[in-house]
Amino acid sequence: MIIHLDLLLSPRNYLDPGTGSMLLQVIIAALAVIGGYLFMIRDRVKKIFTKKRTDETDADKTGQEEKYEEK
Amino acid sequence: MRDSGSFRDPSGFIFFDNNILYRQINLPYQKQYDHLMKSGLYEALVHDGIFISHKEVSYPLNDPEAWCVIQPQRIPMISYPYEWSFGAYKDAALATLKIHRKAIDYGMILKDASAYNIQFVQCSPKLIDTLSFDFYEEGQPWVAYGQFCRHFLAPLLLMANVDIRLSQLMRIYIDGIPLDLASKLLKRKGGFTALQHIHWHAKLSEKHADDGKKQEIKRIQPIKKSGFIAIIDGLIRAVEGIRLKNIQTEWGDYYSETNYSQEASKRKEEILANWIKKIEPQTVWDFGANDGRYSRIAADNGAHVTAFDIDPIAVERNYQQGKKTKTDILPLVLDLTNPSPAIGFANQERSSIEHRLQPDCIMALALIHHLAISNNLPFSMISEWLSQICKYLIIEFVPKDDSQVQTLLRTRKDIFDQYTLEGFKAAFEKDFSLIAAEPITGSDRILFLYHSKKLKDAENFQLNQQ
Repeated sequence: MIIHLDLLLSPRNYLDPGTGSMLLQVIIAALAVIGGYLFMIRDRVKKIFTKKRTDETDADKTGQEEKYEEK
Repeated sequence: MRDSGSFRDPSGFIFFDNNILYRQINLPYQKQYDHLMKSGLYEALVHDGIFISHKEVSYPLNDPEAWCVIQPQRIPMISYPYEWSFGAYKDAALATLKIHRKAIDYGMILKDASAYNIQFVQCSPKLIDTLSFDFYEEGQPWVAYGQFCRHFLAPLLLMANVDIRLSQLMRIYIDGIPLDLASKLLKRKGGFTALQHIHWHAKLSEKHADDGKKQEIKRIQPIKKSGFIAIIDGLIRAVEGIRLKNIQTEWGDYYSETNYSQEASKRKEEILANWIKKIEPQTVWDFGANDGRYSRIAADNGAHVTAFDIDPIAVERNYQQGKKTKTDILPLVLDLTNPSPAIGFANQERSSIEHRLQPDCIMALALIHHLAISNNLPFSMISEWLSQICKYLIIEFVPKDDSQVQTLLRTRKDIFDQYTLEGFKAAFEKDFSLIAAEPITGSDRILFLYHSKKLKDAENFQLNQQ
């Protein structure tokens, strides 16, 4: 859906928002949504690996503790 | 009396009565103000420490446009973006974006994003404009996006990628750094953030600059709420990612290079603490504060301290330290040989530094030789200016044979015959009454405590809040 620019603007605005600034937001909104997903995926992958590593470290520690206890 | 900088937004304005600051809210803004207060947004933002609090007061209203009057929390020292350190500027930008983001959860947005709407209480940024909120309407782009890029993103990217001193461009361009200028100065620096928000933005703005002359009305794709939020989240990530490169300036390691012995340094701190306790200043300006070592003495004794220095790196260190320790110090960048002037329409929108506050005390420690020798300022001119802007003056006299003065004189001709202790005392005692003088044991320097003979009436000073 494409509509008239001035229909989108609140009559209360006292700033001149600038046509260029508004048109650019259409482009960067799309980029930002994609970027947001990518960041979310990156964070999830990071979390999995961090969790794995933490588990491994915990396991190592537990193993070591057991060994010490055996001694 | 209406504040001369409060005229852009028809929703209301700031005024002073009997030196108390008020904000009038006009009838057309009633719905937005009610929503701000009743939705929980006001409480949430005040709780987060990023929004100024206020109380509603009964005030006789003669203006048919007026709806009500509020009395906002007073800010100890008004500062402007060209005086902020990099870290302060970044925190101000993040505070603006976080307020805008939170507002959406309550059905509102920030309708403006002026850097002048942010003020600092200690090292904590706060939005001071209660009338900056409007209702969010699905589909609309952010009306203040261009303003945010000019007021915050462009200065931050220029400071981080080109030169930290470029924040001074804000002093010339009151509505933010023009994006075409920022784009030219950045060249290819600043990564994807600069590409989107500065370079593309500048090109598109230039292309559509004359759209007003065309008959056809521009059509646009409405922006979904998810896209609107993604832009803000993207801007928050972008600002968080702007970092200052590790640079060192001439003053950066002043305290490690100073000729002070440990004994002299300790003695200076003792004298200072004694005098501060004696005069009990509420407000202190520390000129040439460097990283704020001596400002902290005044702050520890209960004063609101503004710590000025010409070196943006020293001010940045002081700011980061202040954030950690939560001391009552606001570090600002200021060149005393060219202090912040009054700017804006009729030179009245933003006040000069000396018209924002009359400090109870000014500290000018290890500074006089920089003013008198590096900048050829006669003692009489320094003394006259200082006596007009403060009640008390704590000033350190640095003799000519001091190694710091000798360093300054090594590369230039010594034309400073008047630079003597006698010359100093004669000039300063014309404008000030001497209260005490103490030599700093372990050095040849002397500390003087003076009281101004030319006090200005405190009522002539009014904070320029917006």
